[in-house]
Amino acid sequence: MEISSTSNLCIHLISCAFQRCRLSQQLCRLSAVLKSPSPSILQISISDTGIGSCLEEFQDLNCSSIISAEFWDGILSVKTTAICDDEIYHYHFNLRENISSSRTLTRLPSNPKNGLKFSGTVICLSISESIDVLVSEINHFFQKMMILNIPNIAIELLIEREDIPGSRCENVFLANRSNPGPLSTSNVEFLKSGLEDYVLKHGNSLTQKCSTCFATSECLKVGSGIACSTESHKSSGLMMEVVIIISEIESTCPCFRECSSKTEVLYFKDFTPCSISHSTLNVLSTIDWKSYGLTLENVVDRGVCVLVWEDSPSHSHIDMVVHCYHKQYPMHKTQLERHLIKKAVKAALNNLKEKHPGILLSAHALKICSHAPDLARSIAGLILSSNDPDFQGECFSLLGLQSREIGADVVEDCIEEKIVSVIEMNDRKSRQRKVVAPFLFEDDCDQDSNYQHKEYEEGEDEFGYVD
Amino acid sequence: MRFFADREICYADILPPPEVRARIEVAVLNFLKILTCTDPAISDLLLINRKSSNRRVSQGLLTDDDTWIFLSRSFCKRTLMRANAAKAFIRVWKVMEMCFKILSQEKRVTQRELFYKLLCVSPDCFSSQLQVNRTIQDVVGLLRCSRYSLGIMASSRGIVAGRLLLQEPDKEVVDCSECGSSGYAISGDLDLLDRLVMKTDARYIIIVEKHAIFHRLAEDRVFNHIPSILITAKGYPDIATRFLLHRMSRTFPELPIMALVDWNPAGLAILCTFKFGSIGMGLEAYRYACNVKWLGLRGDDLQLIPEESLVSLKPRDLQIAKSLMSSETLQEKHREELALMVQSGKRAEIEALYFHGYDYLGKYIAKKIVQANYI
Amino acid sequence: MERNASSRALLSKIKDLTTSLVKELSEGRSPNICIHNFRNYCTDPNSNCLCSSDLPKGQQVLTLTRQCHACRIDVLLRVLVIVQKLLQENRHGSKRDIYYMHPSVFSEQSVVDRAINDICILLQCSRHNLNVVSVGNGLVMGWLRFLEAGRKFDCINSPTTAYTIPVHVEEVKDIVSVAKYILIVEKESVFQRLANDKFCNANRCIVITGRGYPDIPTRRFLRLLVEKLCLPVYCLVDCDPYGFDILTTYRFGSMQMAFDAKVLRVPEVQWLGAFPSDFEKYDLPQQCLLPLTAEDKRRTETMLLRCYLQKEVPEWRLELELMLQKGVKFEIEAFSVHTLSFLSEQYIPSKIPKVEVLPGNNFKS
Repeated sequence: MEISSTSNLCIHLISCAFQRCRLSQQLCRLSAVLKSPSPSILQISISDTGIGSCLEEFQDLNCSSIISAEFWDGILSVKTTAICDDEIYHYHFNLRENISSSRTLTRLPSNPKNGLKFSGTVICLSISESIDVLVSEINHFFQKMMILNIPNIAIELLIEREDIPGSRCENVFLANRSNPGPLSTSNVEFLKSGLEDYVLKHGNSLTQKCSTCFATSECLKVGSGIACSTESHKSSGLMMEVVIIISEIESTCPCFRECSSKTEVLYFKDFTPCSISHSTLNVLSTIDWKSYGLTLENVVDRGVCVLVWEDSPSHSHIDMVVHCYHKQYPMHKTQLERHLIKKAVKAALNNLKEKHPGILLSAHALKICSHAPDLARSIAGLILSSNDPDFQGECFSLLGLQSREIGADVVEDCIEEKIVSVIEMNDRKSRQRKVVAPFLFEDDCDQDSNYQHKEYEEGEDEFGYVD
Repeated sequence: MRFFADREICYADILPPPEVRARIEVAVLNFLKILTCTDPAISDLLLINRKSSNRRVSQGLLTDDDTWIFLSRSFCKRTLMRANAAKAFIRVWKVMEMCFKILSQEKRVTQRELFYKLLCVSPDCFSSQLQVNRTIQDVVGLLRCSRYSLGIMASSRGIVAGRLLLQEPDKEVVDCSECGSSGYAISGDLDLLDRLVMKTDARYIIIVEKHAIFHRLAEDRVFNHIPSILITAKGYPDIATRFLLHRMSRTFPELPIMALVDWNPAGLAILCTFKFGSIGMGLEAYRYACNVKWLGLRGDDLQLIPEESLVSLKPRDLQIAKSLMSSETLQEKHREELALMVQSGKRAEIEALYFHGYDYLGKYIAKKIVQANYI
Repeated sequence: MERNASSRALLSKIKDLTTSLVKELSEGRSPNICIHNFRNYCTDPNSNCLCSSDLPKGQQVLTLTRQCHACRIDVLLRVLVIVQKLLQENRHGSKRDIYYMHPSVFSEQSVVDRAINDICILLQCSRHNLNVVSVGNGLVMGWLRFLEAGRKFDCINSPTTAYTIPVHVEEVKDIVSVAKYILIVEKESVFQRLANDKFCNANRCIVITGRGYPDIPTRRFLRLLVEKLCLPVYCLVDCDPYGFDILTTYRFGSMQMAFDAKVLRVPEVQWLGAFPSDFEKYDLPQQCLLPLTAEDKRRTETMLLRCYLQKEVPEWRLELELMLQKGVKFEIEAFSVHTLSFLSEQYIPSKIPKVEVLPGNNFKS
């Protein structure tokens, strides 16, 4: 793995720690401590209480671009122990060496555990780097991690700056402050609540949910979808989880995002936020958004992937998170991702549609729906302008309307509502129900004698020579 | 043959306003029932297909004198569920709504007025007169009643003259032989025509293609020498004219009906429309078929006409000829005449007979009738 | 009787003409046929024109020396022979009938039409005097009763029934009417609307339509009614260039028949509507407005130049200018948008000045 910057390295080490915590399935703690004893030196220590490291994750790190004499000596100090180990192992990795040749792994004397049962890993390194850059990057990283909302991991970031005495500060990111829920809950459920939180706090930029925008809980419409490959000799059980939230935002809110026609796709790979691959991006642009009433203008990839919509409904915003991970750890490379993402996104969209009638209607259904008021007005007009009270009574009882003293608006609205709901229902069903339309006025002939259904477009009247 | 053919006929009834309103109410109830049932849907509207593929011919048993065309029981549908056809569906309802209201007021509208009303009520659905006219045909095909029954005014260009006494309900008897050369104007009101009391001492009914010829014959009081009823629709017949002719043929079944048309494809097409009807008239086409004979002009008459009166066939003529040739209803003798026209590349108009003087036309008709020279 | 007298006079004029032609030819000279030019308007607003005077405006002399003139004389004489025959046999023929006597010589209908007009000018008569008639298309209904050649047109008996206007207007006799005004409508559909609304039951009037540009029998019949009954005449046309042109045809006659304008025009015609200003006044929906096409604009601009508009009906001209200025047109049918009977119950009554009930009049309005 190519490491291009110090923050890159830190984030990699943190995500490895995160994986170890996740796999332990116990309540874990992950600490990142940044100490700056002098302006030119920065000591980083990343510790976790997850399962011990098998050291593989350090094997293929390529840090050549950040290793230099004045910057970093390339030494990682790793202390680790698994739950069943009797001692804490201590190693020094010298990353200055080439990857291919056997890396210098210096094994240092271990510490005994004295019969205590615990596991964990501490990784330390010392570099020459400004603390400020690193802090903001790591903070940002943790904010995103909170979307995953893994319940058993508490995260803290400690910063001690010797140059500013007493400046010790602690950022604690507890993944699950509001509603921990049972650990058995599936990842996608956590992802859903994580994204909900993220949206309510305007992309985790607030500490509390924005009460201006989200006064009620109904303003969020959440849908999720999962796709997974079967575990076989070739693949290792790749999971693809997608959560999509459609939210309404008050334009009066100071946090109102001006570009509501844009959706940043939050992408996680194996529990780590990262940028989306080019091929996955292509898949996103080939999804048939139109059948959900969305028109994709283009896909922008500037570090983060942004879907730009044409004429998205005003004041509503679409948020989307994609998480792709292997059930096993460590993982093997696989190509299945592209196929799965399409499936998962569609599943999430369908899930939304199922739960919230009236949203994400296909362009086709929207077009049909636009005729509903017209049709409802005509039929209401026909009913109300009749001078036959029996007919009116029968119509009202079919519509479930009680009194005969009903205003035109009520009848019209009732019919429109029913028409729209049929259209929506048909849009959700994959195939439309075939309704055999009745002949209204049959002459004496048998109904089934000789008819074919034929549909025809406008302008198909044919006139013979005689016209 | 005839028995089975009859089973397939679809036709439009002439209905009084309350019955049309009742049919519209049935359509509404049906729509609501399907919309509100446990497995709701938006019901499609089934209409009689007006495509020429749905045209059928009823052949007479022994002769082809009794042949007519009609629309069969092939249906097409208007549905809301296909986005690009949804407007056509809405239009049917809009027109039905408008007709319903007009009928309730016991009024009638012209197609143009209907267009303006619809344009103002639902400009999104209606943008042209043609759309309105087509939708009216849709409603005719749905409710199976005539356009006139829907409250749409019809005007007729038709006129009658000759030995016919007509009496409209509660009116004085009109003697069509005393109507002068302008004749008795046929009303567009089929209801009224249906209630006309008719009497005649004529022995022939003569259809005249052109108004000017009709005028000449009426002025010359040709019906005094040839006891006849003259009728013209001033070109292609409208429904009212065909309706009246049909009523006359039923009331006076012993009178042969003969047509005097130009010797060109359009003349024959007009004759055929009187005889068989036209699919363009939709469901109202079939029932006014009459056994019309071709009196003139025909190929035999060309000898009476100076060479210079023959004009070359124009592309439009050939187009009509082609369409006629492909028609299964065209009788063999008529087909031969048409073939002669196409072969000679010429056409002649009735006025060409004036070469022999203005009073020749009457003599010509009399001679042909006496000799039973019609096909 | 009258008719025969006029026929005899014409036949003798034809004989005179023939004699003079023969005389000239026998003396070895080319005959000169002098045909006056007529026009009922000019387009020079500054000229002190005499367009309204019914006098000929210049003349054309046909001689045998020019080939095109020779052709025209040939056609003229051939038509004259046919006309003579029609008059002698007391028969009527249409322009089309005449064309068919020598289709190859006449080559097209318009040649015959011009020859007929030339003959009318030469013989100083109207077309119907030549026994050349067109089939009538006009309709009439309302408070009117008359006889045509013994046939009774009893419109009063059923004032909402349409009658075809008689072709032989000179045979119309015994006109009886209790109408207060005559209403001309441009289109048959509007006529039908009024019939359907039973307009003539509620309003004592006579309604006439020429179904578009009025034919000669319709205009002559209208003129006859106006002369005999001395009633005000109102004209209702579409608010578009065609409607306006039809209106001017009723009042001033057409350029084509300018030689006979004195017989055909009806100067009493007043323009009832629809005016461009009616659109706002009667609150019509915007959808009913159509933009004027380039052709409409061109026609309107040409019409604006007609001298009679400036001299006789400047207020018409102002409305026409307004139409051009607004760039829109609309049809009478647009009034049906509010309610079907808007035209008959509100629009027309609001425009017709209240007629004083004269003493001795038995009818109450």
